[in-house]
Amino acid sequence: MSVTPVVELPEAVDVVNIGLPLFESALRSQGQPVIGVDWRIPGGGEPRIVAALARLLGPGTDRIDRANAEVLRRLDEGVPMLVGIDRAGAVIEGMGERDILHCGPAIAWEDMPDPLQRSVRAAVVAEGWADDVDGAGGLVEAGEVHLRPANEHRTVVPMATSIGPSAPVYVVHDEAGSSTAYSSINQGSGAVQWFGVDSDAAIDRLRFVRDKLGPVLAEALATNGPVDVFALAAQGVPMGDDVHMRVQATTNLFLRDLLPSLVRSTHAAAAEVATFLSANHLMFLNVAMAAAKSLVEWASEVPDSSIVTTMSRNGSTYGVRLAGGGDWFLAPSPPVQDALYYPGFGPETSAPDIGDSAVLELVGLGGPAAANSPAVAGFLGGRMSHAIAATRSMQRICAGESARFRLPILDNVGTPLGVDVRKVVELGITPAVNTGIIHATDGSGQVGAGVAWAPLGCFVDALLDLDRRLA
Amino acid sequence: MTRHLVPVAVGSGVAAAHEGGALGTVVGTFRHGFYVRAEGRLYAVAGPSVAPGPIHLILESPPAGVPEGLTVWMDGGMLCSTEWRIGLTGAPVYAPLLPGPSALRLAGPYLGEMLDRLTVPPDLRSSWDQVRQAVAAGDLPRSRALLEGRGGGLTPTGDDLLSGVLLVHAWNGGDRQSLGRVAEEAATTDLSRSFLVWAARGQSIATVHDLVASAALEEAADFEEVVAQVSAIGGSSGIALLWGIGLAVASVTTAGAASPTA
Repeated sequence: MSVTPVVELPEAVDVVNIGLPLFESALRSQGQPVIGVDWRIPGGGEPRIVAALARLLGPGTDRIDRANAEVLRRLDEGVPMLVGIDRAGAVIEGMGERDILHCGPAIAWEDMPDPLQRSVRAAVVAEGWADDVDGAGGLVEAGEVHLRPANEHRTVVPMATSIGPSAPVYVVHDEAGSSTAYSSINQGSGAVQWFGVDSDAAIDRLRFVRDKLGPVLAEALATNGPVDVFALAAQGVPMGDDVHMRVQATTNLFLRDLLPSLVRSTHAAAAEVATFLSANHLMFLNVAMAAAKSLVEWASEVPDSSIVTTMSRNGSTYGVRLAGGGDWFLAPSPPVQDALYYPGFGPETSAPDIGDSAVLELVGLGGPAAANSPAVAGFLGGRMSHAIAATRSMQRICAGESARFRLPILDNVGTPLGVDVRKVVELGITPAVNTGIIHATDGSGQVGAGVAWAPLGCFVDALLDLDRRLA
Repeated sequence: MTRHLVPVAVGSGVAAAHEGGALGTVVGTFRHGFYVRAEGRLYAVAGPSVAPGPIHLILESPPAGVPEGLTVWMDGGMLCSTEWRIGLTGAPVYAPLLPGPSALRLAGPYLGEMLDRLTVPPDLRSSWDQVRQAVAAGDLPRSRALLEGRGGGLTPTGDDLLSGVLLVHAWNGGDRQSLGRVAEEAATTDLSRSFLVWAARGQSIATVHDLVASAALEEAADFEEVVAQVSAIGGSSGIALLWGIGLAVASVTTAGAASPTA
């Protein structure tokens, strides 16, 4: 005798939404609990990308993974030491006495966005090559000043910074890899050149950095001895810094280390410099960038790797390079999507993502360290869960985790380390970069800060090139 | 560099979504364009292969490389993002001809015959009899309760059918406020609700308006072509929409200019 089965329907349904978030948000707005799974078609479903992924995640995996393991070792075990401050033109290899180094990939003067043009003009005036910014613009247009990407000279500069040969730079040396890298000295907040301002005050600030701040810090460093940059950053992360958007704790640790040497300074501007330092909570940003650059330079020597070792923007284009590659892959620089603006400003007044500071995201800082930073959470909606989600998304596209940068809020797990282009393209998830926002056109400086998501196109091109190189 | 994109048809739902200066966000992309959400309202920006509609902004060519998360806003008559500008002032506005009760009565025979050839959407089969009864009775709250958010698809099948019902009641002179409330209160996705809201105002995509016009004019060849076009929309969206229109037309033409329960 057969018995008709009785189907008992559940009284409640738990929902897992896989893919398009429109359904997830609809359920949430109706008060229904839902788990969202961020899933996308690998490689956007484009046949040539899917084929490349199949090769690079299939037969090519062992070769790439071995290379990646070495890249990760270099990123994780290098010990970048801040050894001094020197004149850019004296220490940066290949920098000529009529060169200006700028952020991002190479770009012609006429293609530069307004903030970067202003920055270059200010740097030219500060160098003494022109009397005013109009004259400076004329010199650049006439080809009497050479524009070069800082990244190609082992140098990184934040936001819209550009530097001439007389600018002081941090010199960071990684003894493990014998690589040296450089970064400009932070100019502080307000109407300053690194935020795309070319006013007289901004140019005066450049002169102050060159003539007073640089020498006083150089003297203090010489007295103090080398500073272990990432030892400080490793302390700063549990103190709420992501060491990109927020560097307040690490800056304090840095200045605390230098304090005995600073107070012994005999420089005439010591007191003025001390006042400046006490008001500049971003001082450590450039130091950390130079340290990160020294590690990615070492890592970039490893062939056959799928790890990203350059990620940089000039406000017009966004460029990436892979370890062992060397070629730039470019896409239009995106707007800063998750942003908080100063009153009276918004996306319509903001320049696209700009600066070399995304080098920090390549070594486990910035976006990878967002989870432990209440300040970053503030830009992502206010809750720590939002900041944790940013770190989680980086975990999905990174090949390893940092042994030195740890996140107490995530049970002390290491920050994600080594952006793997295969994962980026397969998942369609690009790195989150914590960054400032500057005015697009009027030279008024910073108008907000937020999180910018890198464009996918340049990662796709880098992946296809890796596939060609390994064929 | 900011691109200037050229609009060829602008639905009224585009500017309405940004009323009061509401900022929008690109919340999804598809082959021919992308979706923008602003204050719970959605609209699509797409290339010319997509039919004009109340929540469609149709461009001369498909927009390429638009990232999810991009902020979109209105600046005067300009729809803006940091990557492109679309000048809406002077652009052709999508304003379909809304059929009235007499046109519905004329279209009734063609639309009724059409139903005989449509398959019942599988995800509505279990409640099909109840749905037909509710629509036939002009009971919009009951219809909504049976259909809202029901079934598969980016616009769930039940919503597609409900939008057909709302369109017919709007064309038949139903109270816009009551119809609007049915749409606004539907428990469904923002995208689907946006379609419902405009259906309650009598507006749908251009082919749907062509459908009723060709049926009323008894232009058999045109009618068949339009039925095929609407049927091909989505997985089952078009067919569900045709069911909604057909069932509702039968109810209102039987009852005369009925006052729906809303």
